[in-house]
Amino acid sequence: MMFNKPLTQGKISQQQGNIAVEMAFSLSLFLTTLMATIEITRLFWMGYWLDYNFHQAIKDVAWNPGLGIESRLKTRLDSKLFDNSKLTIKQKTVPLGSLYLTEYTVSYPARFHFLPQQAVTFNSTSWLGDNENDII
Amino acid sequence: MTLSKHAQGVIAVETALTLSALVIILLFSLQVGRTLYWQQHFGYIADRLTKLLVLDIQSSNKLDSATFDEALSLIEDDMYHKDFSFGLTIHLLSDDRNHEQSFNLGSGCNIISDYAVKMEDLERVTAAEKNKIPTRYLLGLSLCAQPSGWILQSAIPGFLELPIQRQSYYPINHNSI
Repeated sequence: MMFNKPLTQGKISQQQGNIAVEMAFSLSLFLTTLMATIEITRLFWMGYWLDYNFHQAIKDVAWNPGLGIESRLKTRLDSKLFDNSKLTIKQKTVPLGSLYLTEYTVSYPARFHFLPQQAVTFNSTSWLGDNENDII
Repeated sequence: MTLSKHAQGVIAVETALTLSALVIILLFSLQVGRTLYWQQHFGYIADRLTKLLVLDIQSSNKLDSATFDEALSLIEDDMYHKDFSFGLTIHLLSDDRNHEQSFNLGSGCNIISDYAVKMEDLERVTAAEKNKIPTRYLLGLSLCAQPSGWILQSAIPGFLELPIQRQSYYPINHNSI
């Protein structure tokens, strides 16, 4: 029959030390990973919502012109952690066959502390015909 | 307090294993996330261009491959798509087989596109009977984007080089053809 030997004071101190050092490593690693995960999620969150709402705004204007792209996009992004004052929308005219399209490009700069350059500018491009309702 | 050699070794191995596992998980998440993002983005672009190409066909009453080239240029000229090479496959689908046409454009991966290229293969349009309605026409567009120059692409080529393919269809007014 085997019995475990009782731990000496020295052994207990060494085990406590091991646990403390491992905890320090693991905890810092865990916190770093957690923050990185939050930042990656935020990266895709912003990219996804900007792209989705921009294209929805384009489709809205195609069917119901009047309000314009910018105001529709800002209204859609209101509750999605975007600072609307940083949105930039550029437009130019491009040909497509017999049509002249308006090409819209939206840009949004966002800060990401875990990235080397600490910033990412999201962009999206789409096109709008002047007479899309005529397609019916 | 100094740690024994054994304890130092255990900590080093545990940290190395945990760290490499976390890095792999983060990279995998990043890859899946960006693939889904671009799939969505190119899906929107395919929908938009399909509708605009139909609008052009109905305005000019003709199918013009030069216009399809311009559509491809619109995508390629966008500086935000510099990490891709593009291919477009455009089909005019019709109940009348004699009117069907197809166009392959660009240097991308349009050849392996597997989207439906026959009217009867499409869902939702098979219910109508040809004899009771005018000949139907559809413009089908398949956009294929092959990633190039992505981070770590050469490290895991089979996984990171998968092309992104999106399809869109839009009906053409039969009076335009």
